[in-house]
Amino acid sequence: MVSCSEIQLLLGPFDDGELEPHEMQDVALHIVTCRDCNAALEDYRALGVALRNTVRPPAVDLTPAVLARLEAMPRPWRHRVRAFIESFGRIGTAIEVVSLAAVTAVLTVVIANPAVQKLVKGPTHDSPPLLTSSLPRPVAPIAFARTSSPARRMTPAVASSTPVNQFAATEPPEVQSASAMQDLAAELGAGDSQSVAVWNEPNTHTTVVWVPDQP
Amino acid sequence: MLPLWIAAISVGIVYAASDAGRDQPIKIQVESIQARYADTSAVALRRSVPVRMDPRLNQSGLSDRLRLMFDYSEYQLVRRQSANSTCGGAVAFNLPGGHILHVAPLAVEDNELAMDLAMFEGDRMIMRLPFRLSAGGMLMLVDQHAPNRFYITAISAEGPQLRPQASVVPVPQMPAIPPVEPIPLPAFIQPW
Repeated sequence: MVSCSEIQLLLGPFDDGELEPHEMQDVALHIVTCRDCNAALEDYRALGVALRNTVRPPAVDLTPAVLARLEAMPRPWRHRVRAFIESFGRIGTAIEVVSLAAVTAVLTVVIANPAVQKLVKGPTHDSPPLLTSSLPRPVAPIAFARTSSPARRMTPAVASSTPVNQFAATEPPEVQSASAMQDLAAELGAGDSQSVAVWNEPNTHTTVVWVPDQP
Repeated sequence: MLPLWIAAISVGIVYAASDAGRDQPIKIQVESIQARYADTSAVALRRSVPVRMDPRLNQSGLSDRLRLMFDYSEYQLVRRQSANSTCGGAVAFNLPGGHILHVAPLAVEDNELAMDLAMFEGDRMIMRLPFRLSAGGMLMLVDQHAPNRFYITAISAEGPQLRPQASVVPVPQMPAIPPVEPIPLPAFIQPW
């Protein structure tokens, strides 16, 4: 059995319809049988009506002010473009199609450009810079040797110092500097403890590479 | 939605066209030559030694290249192999001396074949060489197996996209022989 004090606490939510269904049922059954609670409910309703009557409606229409504030707020560029296009009506759809086609054409031209492809793909495919067979200074033969193990000295110096071709006879062989040797040795993946020798004959597009010493 | 489809199809067509060359076959040819000095003392003393060239090396100007690049006195063709591949693929060759050569063509650009080479001794990689081979060009790997035994691995490539230039092996120019003037006989020698 629910007491009147408990019911009177629920009258406000009951009048606003905010109670759970079983609570609504309990309060409704109680106020039918209890005159005091029924009177309290009537007072509550009369008080609500009196309060609502004291509130005056706003004198100013807020709609234009709210719309103006909304218009002043920053909008995403997509919405702006969309609104701009829609302002043209049916012509706007044609503008949309033409502009997208133009963007497609520009993208196609850019992608088909070999320079762009080279830029995107890079000079190699996941590999270190390529050793080109046309070295900047075409001399024949370019030879150098860096030996790590005296027991197996490489012999390109012999090959270069006894030229057997007319080019070498007219041009003295050039020996790469130590830094260039080191760079190329690193490029060949030989590391610091290996020997590498390379020489190039640009007229025949022939390049000779000595396989590094094996331990 | 339609423009997006058009864009996607266009991009696909362009990409397919740009990658069309990747399927072009590339023939990799590997020739293994054994070279040695007939007389090492001749090398030390810079003496001229006649070169003994395997007649099979005269094909494709390989003997001329060898003479141009080296000064060994004997060259013998040990093995000639070739295999077809494409850019993005890889082929392997068994080299004399137990080494294995992997050749991976990467791309053909500016009449040059970019490729990646790796030489293995068993399962150990002893050399990796990214290289750009000109059309008609040749890469020679020299591997010393003994004090006087060298294996030269000559690598060349052919393909529809590789247009070999005109023969670039120079022909030695012989000096022009001046016309021989008759030598006047001395006055005291009278013909019969």
